[in-house]
Amino acid sequence: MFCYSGYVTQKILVAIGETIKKKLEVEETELGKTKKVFSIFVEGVQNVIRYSADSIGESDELDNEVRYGIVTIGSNTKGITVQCGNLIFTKDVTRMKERVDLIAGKDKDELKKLYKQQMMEGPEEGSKGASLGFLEMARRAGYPLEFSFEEVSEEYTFFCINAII
Amino acid sequence: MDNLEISATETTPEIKFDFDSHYFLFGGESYPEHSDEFYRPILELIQKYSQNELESSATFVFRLTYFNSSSARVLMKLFELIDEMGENREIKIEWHYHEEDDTMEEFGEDFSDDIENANFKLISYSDD
Repeated sequence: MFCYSGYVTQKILVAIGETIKKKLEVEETELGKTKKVFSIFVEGVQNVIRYSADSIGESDELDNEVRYGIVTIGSNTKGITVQCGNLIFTKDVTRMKERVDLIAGKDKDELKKLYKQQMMEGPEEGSKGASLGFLEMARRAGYPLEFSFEEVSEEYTFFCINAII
Repeated sequence: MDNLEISATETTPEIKFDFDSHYFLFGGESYPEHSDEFYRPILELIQKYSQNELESSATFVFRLTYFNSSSARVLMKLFELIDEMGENREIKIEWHYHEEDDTMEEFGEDFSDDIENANFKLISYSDD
């Protein structure tokens, strides 16, 4: 349905987001479902904007920094799929897996509880922005999120989130 | 206090504060890149209002159609502020959501769970 690979900024997120909403509207997707796809897409891409290890610009200057990532929106027999991928530092994989494992195997009520807990606690140390993003994605998805880590070099690992709505 | 009127942008909501009639409105979508930056002055304004106008009853209306997780965190802070205000005055909260939008309905329910001192109403609307 849609694939974007390149540097991602908030402006690009808005542009792709509008396109996705229009496309789903044309296909007469139910409003509730469209909202969930959009929500997962926004959280996934904002995660790339915040955390991708592949960037241009000064990493200290938030607004000048541009991060690289891949986003695909498609469909399979289960529903609409949203995939977001980006490079992370291989040294961060363990920490990332720990965060992801918190979400794995949780049902909707448990996710809701975690979400609330996370909102009260505030952003994690060393994290730019809310770590609520994955939880939000997990709550909106129709199936458990799939996370994959593929080491591409000693320095970098490709991290990918796959959601089905 | 001077009234506040902020028009909606692609990623930030419409915000209207009418201090004379004690009416506060948030409407539209919210997914700015830096939610804290956008909302900080707005929360400060409400804080100031809550300290100045100790007795007036107030109405907060939310017609949000989408917000991201970092906006949700700000909203939670906002509801904490509103709930505190309700300790010594009458506060009404209206949470409007489209009848087919179960995400906004659920968020409304979640936020209302933590409200103890205000009248929180969930109101659904349809296209027509």
